[in-house]
Amino acid sequence: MQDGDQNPKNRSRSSWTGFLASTNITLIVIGILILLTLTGALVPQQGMLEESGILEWKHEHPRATPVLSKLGLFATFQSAWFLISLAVLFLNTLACMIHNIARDELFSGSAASNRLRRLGFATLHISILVCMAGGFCSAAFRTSGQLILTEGQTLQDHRQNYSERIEGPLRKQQHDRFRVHLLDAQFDAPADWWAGQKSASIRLSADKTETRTAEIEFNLPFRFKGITFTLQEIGFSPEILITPKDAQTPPFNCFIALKVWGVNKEREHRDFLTLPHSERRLILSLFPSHSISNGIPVKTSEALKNPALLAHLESPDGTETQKQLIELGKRIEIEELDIQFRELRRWASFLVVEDPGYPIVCVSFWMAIIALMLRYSPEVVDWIKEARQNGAG
Amino acid sequence: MAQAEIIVFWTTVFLYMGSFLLHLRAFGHESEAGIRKAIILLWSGLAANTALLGLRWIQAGHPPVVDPYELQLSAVWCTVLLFLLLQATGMVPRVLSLLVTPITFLLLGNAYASQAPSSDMGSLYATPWMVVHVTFAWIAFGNYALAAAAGILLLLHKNVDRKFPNRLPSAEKLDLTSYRLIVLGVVNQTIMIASGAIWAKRAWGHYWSWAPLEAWSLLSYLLYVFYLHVRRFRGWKMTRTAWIAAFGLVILTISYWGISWFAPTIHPGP
Repeated sequence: MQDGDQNPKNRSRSSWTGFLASTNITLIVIGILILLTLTGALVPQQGMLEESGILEWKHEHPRATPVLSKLGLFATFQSAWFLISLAVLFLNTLACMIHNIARDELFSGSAASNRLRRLGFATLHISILVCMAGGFCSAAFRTSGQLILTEGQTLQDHRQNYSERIEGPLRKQQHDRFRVHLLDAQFDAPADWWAGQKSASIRLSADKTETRTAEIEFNLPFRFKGITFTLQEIGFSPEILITPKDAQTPPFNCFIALKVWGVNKEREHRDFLTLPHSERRLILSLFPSHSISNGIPVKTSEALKNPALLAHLESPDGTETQKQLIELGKRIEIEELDIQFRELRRWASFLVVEDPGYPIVCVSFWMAIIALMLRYSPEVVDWIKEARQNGAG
Repeated sequence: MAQAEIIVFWTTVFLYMGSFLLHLRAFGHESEAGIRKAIILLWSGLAANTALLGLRWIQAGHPPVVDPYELQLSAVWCTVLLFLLLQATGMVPRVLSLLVTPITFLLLGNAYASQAPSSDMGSLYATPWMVVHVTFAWIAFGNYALAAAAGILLLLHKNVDRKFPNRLPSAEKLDLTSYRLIVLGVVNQTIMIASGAIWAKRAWGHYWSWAPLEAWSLLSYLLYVFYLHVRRFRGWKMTRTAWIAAFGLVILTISYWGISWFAPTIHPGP
């Protein structure tokens, strides 16, 4: 890492920075990081793959699994090995900077191109330190969670409202920083394509004084009091009224945020509802538009034209009732249940993130790009000059 | 593939192949005129490749950067364009064409195997960061592919030089060319990773999640950083760094197209 020191053997080792700034350490740490990253890229990582996928992999590799588990390599990038390597790289880079500044090496040399190189070198290594500091801030102080709202619903920033939430270990607990209300959600799929155009209108309020309304599109997150709201997915929430025929059991009414599944780049909306006072499940699939072909309902498009639900009951032993179609506003009977499809709204899911490390990382990116230009532009200029002198070919 | 697309695809393949064969023949006979003709044929292949991308763009209604087929066509286009521009200015030796064209065959073959009907772009791509990320990804790939070509030629230098004396540039020149291309690659890959992180933050709420593609991308980046460090501070040169350059292309190819062999990824493309 020490620019300007062509012969490290002659380098003074009197100070601790001299030792830590050693290029041997740099090369060893980069080598270890390469090996760990390769492991992390080849071995399925927790959080990146469904648990069942990891179990399947473990089953297929019975010899490697105990060793990898013991070394924590199913979570390589959170393992002690990886974190220690990053910490050593940070210290190595820092020591390298201090050592070079102390030796007054950075800006010595008479040629302007040489000074430019050294400035680039210094900025580049500072940018690495800044990037790692930003990454540390993100890991330690970040909070990230998923909120799912149906149109007309309001939720508070409270842990119980998140479907999943991750917090950095050094983050102080904060609650009720905002209230979010979903005004409406739009999904425009011109050709039944999986991604489509998504947007959602939300109203955010905090401290009973500040209220803002925002239209959030995919790729265009919205910031409110340092918190980023990123639109993730939009689906359908049908309202179902289930009335048992016996008068003793009370009716049951709810919105069900149907899960969105990607099947052959098409969207499928289906989910189940465990019935109260029963072990059976009501399985629901929604067709935003449908037609009947040979007596079988078929989804025709993702556009909301004539929505219908396909419903059936499933018992714990796996036996199923016949699938029945319920059009919006209509009702059907499945065994002893009267099921009414009362209303259809959309739901939207938002990733709610507060990441103090991101701006720091962004700064490091710009620093690194500028530094690389400074560091290597003299070499590229030399290359062009040399090519001109030698002529083409 | 539409009929016109099939015709232009195979025209591109045959022009690149013709250029390779002509260059090989000219190399054997030490014919300067033959090499010039091979380069002209390569320019023609590039024109056909451009037309192919244009057709795909018109058919899909968006830049050809969505599926693996389109991504590989773009990669070939960028690599060949970069080579032709750099050789025209004398920055890389023309003989690299003998290795650049086989790399394009492999990519075009893989593209043909992974072809699919064009699909809509989706809102994920509706951002200027896509342009920055994809452009610099291809330039970086082109740089590294050329660096690997120079590295492989350096590894073959002794054998080739024995059979065909004085036809190749000196080993030192190939080594320097490979190094300089890797420098350019690192600069472009830095911009690619930075813009990808910003795009990911906007689309998925996090700038880095250790997804398989990110891990492979970091792996190739670390490998080239290792290359720069050992070259500068350990004095590694010639065959040792040439091996790293060649191995880097393998890692890079996996990170661009081979991720799905190992694990599912949310990143579009591979």
